[in-house]
Amino acid sequence: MDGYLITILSNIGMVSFVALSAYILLLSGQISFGQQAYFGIGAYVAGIATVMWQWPLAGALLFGSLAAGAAAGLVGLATLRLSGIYFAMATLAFAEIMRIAAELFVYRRDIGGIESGPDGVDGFRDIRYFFANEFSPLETCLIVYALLATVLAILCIIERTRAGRMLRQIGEDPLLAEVHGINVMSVRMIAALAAGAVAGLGGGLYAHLMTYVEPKSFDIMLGVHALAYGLIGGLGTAFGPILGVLIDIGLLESTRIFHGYRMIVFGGLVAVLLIVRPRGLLDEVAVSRIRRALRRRRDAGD
Amino acid sequence: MLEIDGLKVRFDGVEALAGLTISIPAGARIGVLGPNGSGKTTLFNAISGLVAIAGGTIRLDGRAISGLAPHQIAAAGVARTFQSVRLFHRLSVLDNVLPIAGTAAAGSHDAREAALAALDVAGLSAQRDILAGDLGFYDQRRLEIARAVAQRPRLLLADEPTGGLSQAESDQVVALISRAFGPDTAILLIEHQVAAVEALCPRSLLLAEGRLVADAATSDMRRDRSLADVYFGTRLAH
Repeated sequence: MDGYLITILSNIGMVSFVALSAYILLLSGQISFGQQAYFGIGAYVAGIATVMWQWPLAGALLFGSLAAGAAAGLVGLATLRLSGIYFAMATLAFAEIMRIAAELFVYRRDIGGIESGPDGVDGFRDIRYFFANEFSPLETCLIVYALLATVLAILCIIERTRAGRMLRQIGEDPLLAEVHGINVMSVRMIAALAAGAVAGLGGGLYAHLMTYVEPKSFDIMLGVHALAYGLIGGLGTAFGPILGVLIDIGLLESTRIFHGYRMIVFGGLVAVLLIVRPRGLLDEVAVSRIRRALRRRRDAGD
Repeated sequence: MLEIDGLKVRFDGVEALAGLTISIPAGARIGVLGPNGSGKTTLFNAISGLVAIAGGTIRLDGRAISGLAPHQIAAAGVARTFQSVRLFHRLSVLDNVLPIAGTAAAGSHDAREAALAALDVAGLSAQRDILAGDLGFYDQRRLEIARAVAQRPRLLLADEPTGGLSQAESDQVVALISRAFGPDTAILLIEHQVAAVEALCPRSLLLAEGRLVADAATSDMRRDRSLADVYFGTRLAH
């Protein structure tokens, strides 16, 4: 595989984590414009862990993910009682606070003769774990996809459990869900924690693959895209947001067919889909049809 | 089993419920009658925790449930159907029932069994994999009841479960409610068709302006002047 293709695939993989993060909250009925903050927290924390504390990658990614999840939990305490536009504004405000805090965040130390660490607006450079440990681009890409596949598998399994159905019930009609015995606030809280952790994991990978992270790596455009991926690809299955990422990065950005017009095409696509198919290509109706067709085929095969 | 004492609900200074005191024995089937605005649905909302109460207490099996969150009241054994059908349209028929079946079941296997059994009772087994939003209106009404069946409630609050149905369908739904719930489940039924109430509920409560104006055998109430008076306003005219 050539280097360009591997880079594109790695990008698709990393952004998919943020898309899945926004998707989890969309399922719970909450529109967050702030999932990029957890991506940023994961990136900085995991980067600090390998560079400044010399942690192994697995521990650093896990710690970055947990830190992002914990931050999401704290934000959740303050915002989950809000809904609709108020929740969207509160999450966006938090994400902007985090971005600006990263511009002010300086934590420099001498590591092996080189001054390293986050340096305010200049960001956090030389996160050289993959380079220092001689990982090839293909190997790092495989790490991204192994973790993405794990997260996807966990989400697919959860969707088939009672908890997954609860999440969808809350997303459609929280009051009805509450009357049917579901503690809406605690399920929303768990969803927010999980969504934060998933975004944080993607951020940790991003910092190490790119070898740097800066405050504008997680500005509002990342959050807007993350939301749009679920809305384009569909909210009926966890593969929906992945499809959205494939369409945007795989088709629009990478092939350069729409070079220079990508955002116009992307924005137009979102607008058209919101009108003709408000819950995306793989919406609940499509997923239900596919499931029943598969079941019929399986039953016919027996 | 259900003890309501001095229940008051206020909306912007208007007393929607003005001190209701009602006692419902276990397994009783009781009609709730009254004209629009008399407080029937507000009574259901107060019991299920959807409106804040301004006074009084509600006890279920001796335990105060007034002030609990709606999900806690549901877990305590109060089931609820809505006047305008309320379903999770984007979920399959089975997925509408599974989570609530889990509140009463021991494990996920039991929950699935209970959900399937409830769909079977309601005659919806064949439709279990289609989306609830794709069901016809009669099936949607039955799905609401199936959901309540899966909950194995101590108390069912059925708010006009036959609303919008034909006479034949209404009779079927009343028959379904009658056979789907055992003697452990008390039923409060809001219904405008007194014949349907009489078929299911030997006893009825009559509300007017947030007050209990009669508590009697349904057949007597049908003959009694009070029902006509309340509905046609002769009493209110004075």
